[in-house]
Amino acid sequence: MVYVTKNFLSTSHGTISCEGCHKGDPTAFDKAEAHVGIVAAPSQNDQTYCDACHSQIVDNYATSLHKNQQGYFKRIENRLGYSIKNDATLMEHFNEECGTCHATCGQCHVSRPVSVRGGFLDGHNFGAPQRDNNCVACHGSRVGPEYLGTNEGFVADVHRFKPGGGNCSFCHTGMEMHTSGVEVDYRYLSPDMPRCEDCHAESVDADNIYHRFHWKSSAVPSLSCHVCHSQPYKNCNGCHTGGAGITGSSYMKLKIAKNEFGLEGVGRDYDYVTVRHIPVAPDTYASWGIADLPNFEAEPTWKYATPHNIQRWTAQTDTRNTDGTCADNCHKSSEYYLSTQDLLDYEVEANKNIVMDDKLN
Amino acid sequence: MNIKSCMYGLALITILMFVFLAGCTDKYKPVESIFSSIDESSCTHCHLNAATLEEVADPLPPDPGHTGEG
Repeated sequence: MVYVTKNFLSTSHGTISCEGCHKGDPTAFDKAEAHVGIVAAPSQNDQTYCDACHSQIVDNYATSLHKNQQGYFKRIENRLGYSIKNDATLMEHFNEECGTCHATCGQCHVSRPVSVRGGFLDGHNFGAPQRDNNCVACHGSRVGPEYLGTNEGFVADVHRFKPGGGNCSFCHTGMEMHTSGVEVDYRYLSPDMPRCEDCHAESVDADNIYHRFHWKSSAVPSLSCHVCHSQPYKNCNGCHTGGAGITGSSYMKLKIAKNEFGLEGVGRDYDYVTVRHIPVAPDTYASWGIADLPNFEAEPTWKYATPHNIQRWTAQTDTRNTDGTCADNCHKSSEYYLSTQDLLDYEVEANKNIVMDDKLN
Repeated sequence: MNIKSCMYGLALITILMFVFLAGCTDKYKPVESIFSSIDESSCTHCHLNAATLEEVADPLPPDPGHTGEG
């Protein structure tokens, strides 16, 4: 039920008439009559209802992937060979399935997201997004459990227990969420995304041989921070739209691959990065009428990933049972390297540029 | 041109600018409530009253059974 707490009326949004944002008939005392023409979620149309007071944010937010879902569209377009935006039938399927992850102003600042059945955060009061009710409500399959340490056998991200680290906004600021207005079709291309180096660039121990070799050196291949400091993370198999191609369960694994994700120039030009398996197969959109994605190999099925389960000491960095270097953990082990052996037959071509077969002993 | 004419001209330009700017905005501006008491509006009459809402609320839609993308 839509219960508004009385203190909302003394807030800035509370001084606006109800019908000013929600329409309906405030003079009718019959429920059906009062709700004729009701606009339950005004910020679905933020250009109309939010722009008068928050114009800069509304303008910028139009470029947010949370709003325009351009990342989804682009990946589908690349594999399908054309954009689905002009196909009413495909858009209907998209809106029914992928579209439920679209986030409005209200779904972050007033209520829980619609995809998890909504509900006010605080009696219609507006406020900053709440970790569990907003962020993790949507990002609850991979990122949330990683960060909070709820995956069995693994611990929380070290940042969770830093002052302020209890909230996602510790790294993911409002500026990033609202964006600076730069249009991108892949989240890692966004100039607003946080990077580890934003905080750690200056504080790194210059005597740390591992950092000198694999982070700052141009003489040997560079690694993303996650290659060494992530714990195993969830890789997905059968949780998306449908099709018989992928039906397995998710599994915990850390995999490293070549960074061939087009991220040069955005500060993510490491040679090797962690990658996560995504649940897509040639027949993933069969229920949409697409029996076989014609350009399936256009995108890897293991994607650049930044797992949210950082620790200083991980299986990769723990050298206690070695000769003192991490070489035994990584260079002499194929466990972490993504290879053709990790792929299903139909994935081989799609991932041929990122697998590390040539690095295996 | 004397000072008086200049002043009249300046005033006219200011008024025209104000009218022009005000007339050009098409942004939606929600207004304050016309009701003097929260009970006069059926919105607040019901939605501030938990007991009333419990009587008339529709049941929640079925649980979608998933927790999102990432």
